[in-house]
Order: sequence, then structure tokens, then C-alpha cells
Amino acid sequence: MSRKKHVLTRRQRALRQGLTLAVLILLVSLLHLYRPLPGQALQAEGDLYGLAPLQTVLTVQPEETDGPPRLGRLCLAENDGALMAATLEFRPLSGWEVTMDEVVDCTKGSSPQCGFFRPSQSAYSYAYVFGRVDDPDVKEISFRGVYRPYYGNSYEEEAVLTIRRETAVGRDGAWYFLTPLPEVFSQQLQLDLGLYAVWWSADGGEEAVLWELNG
Amino acid sequence: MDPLYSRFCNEVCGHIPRATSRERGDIARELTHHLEDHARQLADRGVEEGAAADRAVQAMGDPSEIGAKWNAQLSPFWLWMGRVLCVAGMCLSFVIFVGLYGERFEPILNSLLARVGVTGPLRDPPYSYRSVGEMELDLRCPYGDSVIYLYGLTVLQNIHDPDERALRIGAVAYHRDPFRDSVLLTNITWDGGAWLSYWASPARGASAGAITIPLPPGSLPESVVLTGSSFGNSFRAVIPLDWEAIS
Repeated sequence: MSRKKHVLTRRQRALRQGLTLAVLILLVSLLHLYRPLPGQALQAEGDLYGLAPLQTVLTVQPEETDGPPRLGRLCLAENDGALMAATLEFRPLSGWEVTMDEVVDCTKGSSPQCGFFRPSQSAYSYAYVFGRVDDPDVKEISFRGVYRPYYGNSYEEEAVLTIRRETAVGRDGAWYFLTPLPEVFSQQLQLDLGLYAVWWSADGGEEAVLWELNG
Repeated sequence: MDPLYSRFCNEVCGHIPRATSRERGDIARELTHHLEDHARQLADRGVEEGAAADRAVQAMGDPSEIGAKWNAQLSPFWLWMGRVLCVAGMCLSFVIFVGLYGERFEPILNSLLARVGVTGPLRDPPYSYRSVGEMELDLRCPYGDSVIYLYGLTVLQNIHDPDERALRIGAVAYHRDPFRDSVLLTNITWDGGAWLSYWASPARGASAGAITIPLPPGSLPESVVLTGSSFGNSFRAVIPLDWEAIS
């Protein structure tokens, strides 16, 4: 019997390694063990809400104050039934992950759809408002806050932010925004307040409650 | 190994600077096999063993020429490509190991168990209620990409007010793809006065809980309808109630 053993060339050896790698990638994808793409993390989070496949419409780098921690990126994604704002972070061992999210049910109520989102539990992070406006008559949305100062008994109201169609991201006739609230107001959010979105449509002024303490 | 072969192989390998130590070993082994085969053929034809080995080595030719030709065939590109792929494979294997033995194993197991009906019993009745009957169910309702499996019910009665009764329905949600997380029962709005009274294992592959529906005093309905919706998904389950069997 011949004892000859065929010696693999470098090319054959590399191709064999590539084949093994392909099998491993298939296994990892099948088991959802690693998420190399941010969209996969968004979809995994969407699964917990029962959301149909989401499309990312807007990605921004988060505004940060002086303190830690460093965040990943903020994403606004949508499908026909929902609008999701999420904080995405990349972790070497598991890939992209959603660390914080907020979902607005777009099947209830009419346009615009708005939400309030805190991208991190850190006191240093800004709070964000996000939304989608399909109604062509709505040219801008204002956000108003009601809060009680530290050393006061009465509630005060102030205009926090106004977002105009021209400055927002447009897509298929709708416009989208994912915008930080001013720093002072982001800090106030942790105290005692309500946050309201106000807009003017063809039918007149409308208002939506985004967040209320004990609300 | 014959020292003659060994010396020949060393001379050849000395002219292959591109080869790694592993490749040098492979080349030496292959050359030795060739030499031994040739020497065996010569020995079979009657040539004396020592002379056969000598002639086999001579027949191979100039070691430096063989080494130079072999060296030219060894591409650094494929060497590094193989190494990069090998490292990537090892990293992925590590990810699979960590993932399976870490946070992914339990959700996958939960999801698989939920679809074959291993859901665990309905838990003890809530405080100040007692269970006065139970029934097994096998209703699977699609909800988006997930399935809500209703596996049993108990009839609860308030200890202090026997007229106050409720149905408690055991439910578990799992994704059609066993490797994905299911919708959380907490993310569904329950209609018709039903509420989710507790849940377990959220975000661990299968979401389990119990849905409680109050029963009007004195009534024995033939069926109850459980509906849920959120984010454009909805489901409706009609649960027939066989009160004789329940009692």
C-alpha cells in the first residue's frame, strides 16, 4: 500500500479555510448569535414588539454633555405600523445591540406621530424627540414643556423646541426628525414635568402628550 | 528515515525560503515518500537496498533546482489569505461558543420547548383567589411573525366574594423562527377587559404569562373571545368553555 499523502497547496488550504468560515458564518446567521449590521439589531428589538421589518430612515450621532458615557448611534426606523427610536451600540462579542428604545404605535391616531426618547440612562445624556409627519399641511411642530422649578410651588411652561419641515429629513412625501431637546430642558426632564407636541394642521391646532410625570 | 533521504530533503528545503516550518515538514515527507517508492521499485527489480536508495536520490535531480522551483510555487498571498481566514474562523468559533453557552442558549431552548407544548403549569392563584376548575387548551394564534399559544385555563374565585370570578388563561408567545425572540406579551394590548396578570422570562426566546378575564357574576358563558393588538398586528381566539369538564 502506498504511503503517499497529498500535500495541500497554499491556495487549497486557504480555500478550505474559506469554506469553513462560510459554514461558521451560516451557523452564526442562522442562530442570530452575532449582528454585524445595525439593522439586524433593530429588527431583533422589533421582534419583541412584534414589528414587521423596519426600515432605517435616520441615523444621528448623539449629542453628549461633558460627562460619560460615550454612546453608540441613534436610529429612527419605521414600518407601516410603528416608529422606533433606538440607541445602537457595537459590542465586539455580540455585534450591534439596541440598548434603549422607544416605539410609537402609528396604527392609533393620525399624523404626525411623535415620541419622546431618552437614549441613555445616564444623567449626562440629552433627551430626544422624534417623529414622522405625513400631513402636508403641517409645516412645523413645537414642543412645550411644563415643569416645576426646584424652589417653586407653581408649574411653569416654556417653549422648548420647534422643528420645521425645511430642516427635517424628507422621504416619500413625509418628513422625519430625531432632535435633542436643549440641555437645560433635558436635565429638567428628570425632575418634574410634562412634554407636549403642538402643531397646526388644516383643521386647526392639535396637541399630543409625549410624556407626563405619572402620566 | 534513511540518512541519505534526510540529507537530500534538508538540501531541498534549504532552497525554499518562502516555506513555513510546517510546509517544510510536508515537503520533506512528500519527497521521502517519492524516494522510498522509487527505491522499493528498484529493490523489487533486484537492486541491492543501499544502491537502490542512492539511485533513487540521484534520479530526483539537483536539490537546489527542485527547491528553487518549489519556492517559486509558494505564493505569499495565499499563505496570508489562509492565515486571515483561519483567525476569522477562530474568532467566529469563539463567538458561537460564547453565544451558545451565554445568553443565546436559553432563549433558543425556551422557544423550542414552547412550540412542543412544554410551558409549565399555570401558577398559583393570586392573593385572595382560589382555583375552582381548570381545563387544558391547545390554541395557537398567529400574531405577526410570532405565535401565541394558549395552553390552559383556570377558573378563579374570590375567597371573600364567591360571585367574583375570573378566567385565567395560560399563554406563551414564540417566534416562528426558533432562533429569534418572540413578541413580549407585555407589548400587546388586551381587549375586552382582559389583562396580563403576570409574565415570566421576558426576552428569553419565549414570553410566558397569564391573561385574566373577569366573568360576569352568575354567568356560565359558552365561550370567551380573547383579542389582542398592537403595532398593526392582531389576533382573535375563541375559547370554548365546557363547564362540566372544568368543574
